[in-house]
Amino acid sequence: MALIEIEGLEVVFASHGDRVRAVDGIDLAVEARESFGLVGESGSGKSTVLRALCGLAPVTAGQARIAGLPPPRGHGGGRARAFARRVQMVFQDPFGSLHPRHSVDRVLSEPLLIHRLGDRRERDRRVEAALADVGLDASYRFRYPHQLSGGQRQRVAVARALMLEPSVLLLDEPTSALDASVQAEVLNLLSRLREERGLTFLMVSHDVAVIDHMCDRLAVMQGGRIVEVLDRAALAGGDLREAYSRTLLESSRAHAPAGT
Amino acid sequence: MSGLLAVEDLRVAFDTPAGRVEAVRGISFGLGRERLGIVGESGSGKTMTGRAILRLVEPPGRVTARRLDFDGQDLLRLPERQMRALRGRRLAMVMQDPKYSLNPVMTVGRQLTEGLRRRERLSRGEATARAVAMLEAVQIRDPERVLRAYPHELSGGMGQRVMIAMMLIPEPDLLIADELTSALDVTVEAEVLGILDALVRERGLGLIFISHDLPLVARFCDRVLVMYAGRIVEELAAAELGRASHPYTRGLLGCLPSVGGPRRPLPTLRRDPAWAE
Repeated sequence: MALIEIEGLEVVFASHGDRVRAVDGIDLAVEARESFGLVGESGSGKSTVLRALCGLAPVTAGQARIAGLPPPRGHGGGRARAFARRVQMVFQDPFGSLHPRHSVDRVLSEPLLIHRLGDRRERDRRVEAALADVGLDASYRFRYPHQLSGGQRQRVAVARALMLEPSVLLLDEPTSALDASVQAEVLNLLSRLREERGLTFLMVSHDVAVIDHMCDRLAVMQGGRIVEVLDRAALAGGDLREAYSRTLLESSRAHAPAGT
Repeated sequence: MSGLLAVEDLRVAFDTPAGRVEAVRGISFGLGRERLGIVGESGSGKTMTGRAILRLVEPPGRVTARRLDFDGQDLLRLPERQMRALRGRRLAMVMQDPKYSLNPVMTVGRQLTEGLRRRERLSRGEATARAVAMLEAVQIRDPERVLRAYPHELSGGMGQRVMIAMMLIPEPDLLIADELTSALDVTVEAEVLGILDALVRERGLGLIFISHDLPLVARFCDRVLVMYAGRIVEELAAAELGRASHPYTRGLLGCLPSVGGPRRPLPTLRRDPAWAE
């Protein structure tokens, strides 16, 4: 059984009498320890798939499960807590995803407090270890988000996601708000952590080169559907069945630095 | 090339309790009816340069320059009323983040048509028709629905396209695009760039294209300025960017993953304090 299982998933948003079918019936299976990418244009439904998996978007039809767990409803309750222990999400915008008035220490301790893990000394130890793990020294512990650069914030967001030692990370454009130099550092960090901890990644990006660097397989999404599932070799060889996938790949090739 | 805009020794400084911080440290360049890229990392002064040209730097920030001329007018000495008349009509800047630039409590339709109805005194029907045409030009597939929507009901990429449409409706002469396509996927990006390209070629728009995406700038622009720590460290033809000589530019290019590239960790940038001098 795959670790992430999606069958016939549909997500429909309704507003002012308009119905937007963001995800229109997709099937997907991601194995444990796999790194799987979703690419596609904005509005293709790729981020909505991640949000539906963790209960941030309504599942209108079909199923989405991670390690057999359906998306939790609400924040409290044993089911939501059990889910949070297995699955965490890292968002695109490190400015919006950290509470502006919570120190790094509070951001990182909170999951441990909510889950009643460890005493004060144990929490201190884990917060310090988490910072070290994402390459931030102890002096960052009592800073606030506005005192950090975008890359440092995203490191804190990754550290927060790992506090409960989940096995699955849902990564929604984790580096698209960052400079190339900082993107390289954060991608290297994510690859190292995945290797050390045997994590499973489901990663969304509009950047085919980033997905190619990070993922073993990927799905190309368009209009709420998956048009093609590929592995790295097919992508590198340009072995694509669908015209739309080829367009995506060609535009990313055009992005590649000259002279490489 | 020059003609539309002339910038000499532009500086933007902030006096803070901790001392004076210079975000832009004496840069000079000219702009004609062309696509000029400004690249560099966040904090390098790119955005501040754009804001200084439009006189959008808020106190305690201070802008000084030996020369800051737009089409023969001295922007540093223009009264605020005339500056406001230039902004939005002849000079426009599209910002990075649609979430903060669109009014959250006004429908997209009202935001797009407000200026047309006020400045050009178009009827509601005419203004709506222009807005729909511009939304179609930025490849929004269901413009009628988007006009009825509030900004939070749009995806990031859609919001970005709405902002681009809003800036292009008055047909400005100089457009400063700040990370305009960074939130867009490659296919939509290509469409948006196509629109800008047509404006430069057919209408003689002068475009300052601020971006941290070097390969994109290399493909799209005519010339590139590379900024580091408030200075221009390198200026070259965009097509030559791959042969840049400054170690900073080379380092930035080296950090990028590529399709089919090796799986080893990506190279990261090693900064040399001498670059900032």
